[in-house]
Amino acid sequence: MHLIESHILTIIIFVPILGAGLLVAVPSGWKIFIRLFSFILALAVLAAISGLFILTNSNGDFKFVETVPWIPVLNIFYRIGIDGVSLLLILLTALLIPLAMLSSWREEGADGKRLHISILVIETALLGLFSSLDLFLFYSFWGVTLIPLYFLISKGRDGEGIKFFTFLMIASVFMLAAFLLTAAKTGGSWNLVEWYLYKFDMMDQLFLFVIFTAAFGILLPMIPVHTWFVGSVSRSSTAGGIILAGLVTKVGFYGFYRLVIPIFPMAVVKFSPIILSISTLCIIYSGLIAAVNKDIKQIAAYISISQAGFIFLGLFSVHEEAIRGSLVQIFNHGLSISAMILVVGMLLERGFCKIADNGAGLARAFPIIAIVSVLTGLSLMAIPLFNNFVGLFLILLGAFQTKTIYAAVALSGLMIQAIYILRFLSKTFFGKLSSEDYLKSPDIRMREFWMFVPIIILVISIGLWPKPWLCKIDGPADMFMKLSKRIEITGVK
Amino acid sequence: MILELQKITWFPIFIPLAAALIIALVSAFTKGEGSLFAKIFSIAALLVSIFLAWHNWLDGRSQNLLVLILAYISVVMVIFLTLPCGPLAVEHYILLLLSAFGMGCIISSELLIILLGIVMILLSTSSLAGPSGFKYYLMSSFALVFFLIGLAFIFGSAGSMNLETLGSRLPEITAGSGRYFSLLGIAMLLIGSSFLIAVVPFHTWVPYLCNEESFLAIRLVLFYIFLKMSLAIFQSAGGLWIYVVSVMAIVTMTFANLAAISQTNIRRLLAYTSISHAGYALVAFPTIASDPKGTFSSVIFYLVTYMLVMSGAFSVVAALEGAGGGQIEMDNLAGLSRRRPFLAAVFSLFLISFIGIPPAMGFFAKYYIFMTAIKGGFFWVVVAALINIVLSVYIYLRPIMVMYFYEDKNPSFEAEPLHPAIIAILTITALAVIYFGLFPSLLLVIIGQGV
Repeated sequence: MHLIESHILTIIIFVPILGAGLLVAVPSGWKIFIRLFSFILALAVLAAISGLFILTNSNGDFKFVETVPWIPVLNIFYRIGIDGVSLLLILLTALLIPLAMLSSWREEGADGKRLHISILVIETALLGLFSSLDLFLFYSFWGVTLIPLYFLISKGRDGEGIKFFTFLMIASVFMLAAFLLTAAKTGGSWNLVEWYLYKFDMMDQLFLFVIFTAAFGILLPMIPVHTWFVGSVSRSSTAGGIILAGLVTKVGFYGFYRLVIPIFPMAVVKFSPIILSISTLCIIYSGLIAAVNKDIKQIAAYISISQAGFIFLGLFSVHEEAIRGSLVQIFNHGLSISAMILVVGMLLERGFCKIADNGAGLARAFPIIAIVSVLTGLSLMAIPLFNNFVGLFLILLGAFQTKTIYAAVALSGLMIQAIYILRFLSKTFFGKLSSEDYLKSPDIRMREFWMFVPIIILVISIGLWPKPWLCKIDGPADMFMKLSKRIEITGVK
Repeated sequence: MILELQKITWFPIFIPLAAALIIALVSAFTKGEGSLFAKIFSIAALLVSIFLAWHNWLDGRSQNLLVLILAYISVVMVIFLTLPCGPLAVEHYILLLLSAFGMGCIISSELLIILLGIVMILLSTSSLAGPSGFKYYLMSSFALVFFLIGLAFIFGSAGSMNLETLGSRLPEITAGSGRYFSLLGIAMLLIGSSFLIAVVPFHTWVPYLCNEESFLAIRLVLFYIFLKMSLAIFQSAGGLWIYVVSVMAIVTMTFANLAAISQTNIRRLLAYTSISHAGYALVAFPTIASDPKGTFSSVIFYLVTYMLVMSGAFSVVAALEGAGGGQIEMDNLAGLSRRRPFLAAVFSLFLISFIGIPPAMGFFAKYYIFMTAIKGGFFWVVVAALINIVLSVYIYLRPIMVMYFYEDKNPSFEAEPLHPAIIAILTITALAVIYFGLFPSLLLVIIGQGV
């Protein structure tokens, strides 16, 4: 019992990949077994992590820390532990993975087996990544996600999958370069805490900041390098879309939260005008694209980029409220954008892929899908009582105090998001029914309905009563502020 | 008696020579018939010599022996893999054993003996390779001329051909009055040995020779010789050497990767891979003067990885060729994940390892090389290597894409069951690639013990 208690995090992290290893041996004909097995495994992980989430009170320290020598010759350790933010992110991972499985329930044969193995491997890798305190471990976990992601992105016989994968590879190569340089600077240490304590001089900070930003910026994605994201979300299956938009982008945010801003605060001060301009550009530019695009999958992808801009704004405004808002918003963004991608996936499955100019009138054919979509839309529009309102309100509240101009510009993003959501909803669900064919397709299925239930419950509960969620991130946010301010003062000197 | 003989370091490498002579003698009496005997006898001889070399290694922990053992294992493995093909001509095994004898010369530190070993390898391999071997022979004799002239210059300036003596004397000489004379010698030697390790633009022989069984062992041994010579001789050229070897690394990686992009024949693809990976290993060479131990460890780790993954990949190709007959083109891989899921999965693992994605061993090997180079302050060489990794994504993901996403062109093609020997070798290799990728400590300790 003691063994399980002291290694609970490790066990949770590695359960999915062990399941995937088991699935390799199963013949691909056993479709039902493969689906049920991986789904139940994912639910078990979710249950365990929810337990951790409820029971842990966080004060900014790392909990469940385990340290085992891994490659001691090179000063590399297996070092894991979680604070409130990691906890939020592993909860999000554990929540979205079963949803992704449900959304692709109908993938057939060998593809189904490959899909489930890929998803399980990605789950382990992301859980591990969000809880690693050793950066070599962090990179290893990130590397493990790459090949399964490739399998999720690519379909059919063309080189497109490789094109998008190349961007991910560029990001990981930047990440590797950044980690190698930082580790070499700190004397061969890969320990996160030692990186926090090390005093980098100004030139190093600027240089490393640029490399780190290139690495994590591609994942977010930031505006000049966002094409891969739009392309891969619009090409991959619903499961792939959820994992890309809901989880892989979070790796980028996590990188900024955990590494870039606390370790290189002087560089943050220097670069924040550029970064903040990019983030407002993300909000407005991709918001506008989402407001005129016709392909519903691309709309979802651009919405994701646009909303990610707010989180970025919050993180880089280095203000207590804004940071807390951003951290909550990271979780909210995962929830809401996944809901959006699920909606888009359901519509695509029913033969609807481009919005019509005078409305497709799908509400008549699929009334319940319409209700769910409107709820999703309200959440994405940051209407009060919905989750995004909490996050965006805090972000803008904080940002107005430190970066007034950028916050003011970003405020127009709120208007733009109302435009693109309302346009999407009205052109899809309202108006005259464009084709009688839609009446033949079923309305929401039981499976699809149950995908939305947890999301909508969470969306509304966070909106109504955000306190328990904010509680979890108070400690980490204070720690983050201390780290970021600490060197900001020395930077002024 | 045996126990005493074990003490002699040279004993293990004479066994292949003796075995070659015995096989030649026997075949003279059996009129070239006993090729099965030759096969079994050569495997047995090599195994004995591996065992003795391992015994010697336990005594001295010399990295020379480690590399030799690896090379011999690779030769045994490829002989083993020809099992399904049926026995080949007797001369084949004689030549293979002779080249194994040549490989043994790497344990020496006398340049002349090393040169003899190289010549032995070149001669026997080029006779094995048929018409393309002739091209190889011509090119290699051209390179050996440079090598010899360089050797003469070096001997003239330092008065020795022993690597250890040279290592201590040359730095003074290159700094002193004999500077240009000795630098000329170093340059000539460098040109000669660049050919041996197939640095671009001296790489053209690799695609010719990649069909040979002993290809990997030869690449390993020659690269190791280059490593030893860099430590003893080349690095005494100081800044000039650092500059030259960095350029060599960058040009080799980039050119080989660019050339590999357009390859459709899988063997040729692997041949170019082999060239580009020599380039990655060269990334650590600029630090050889400042951090010899780190460089040695990282390069040898890289070589071990290279051997393991490469031989795995070549075994997959050999298995496919054995099943389908003839050379394997990219199109032949279409739908392999349905026809032969095991081969497809294992081959994908090796390809992933070539890119350098965790958890495959290739990642740690690359990481170690890069870390060594960065600690020595050669970040820009690492940047070139990182760009090359991105370049190589397309090269190595394309076969995976073809195997997993393309439709089979001739679905009627019946897959014969694989030979158990191939399955065993591939399983062991794949497990080793993952195991050492996740837990490289053991291997690091073994490599780090040697001097």
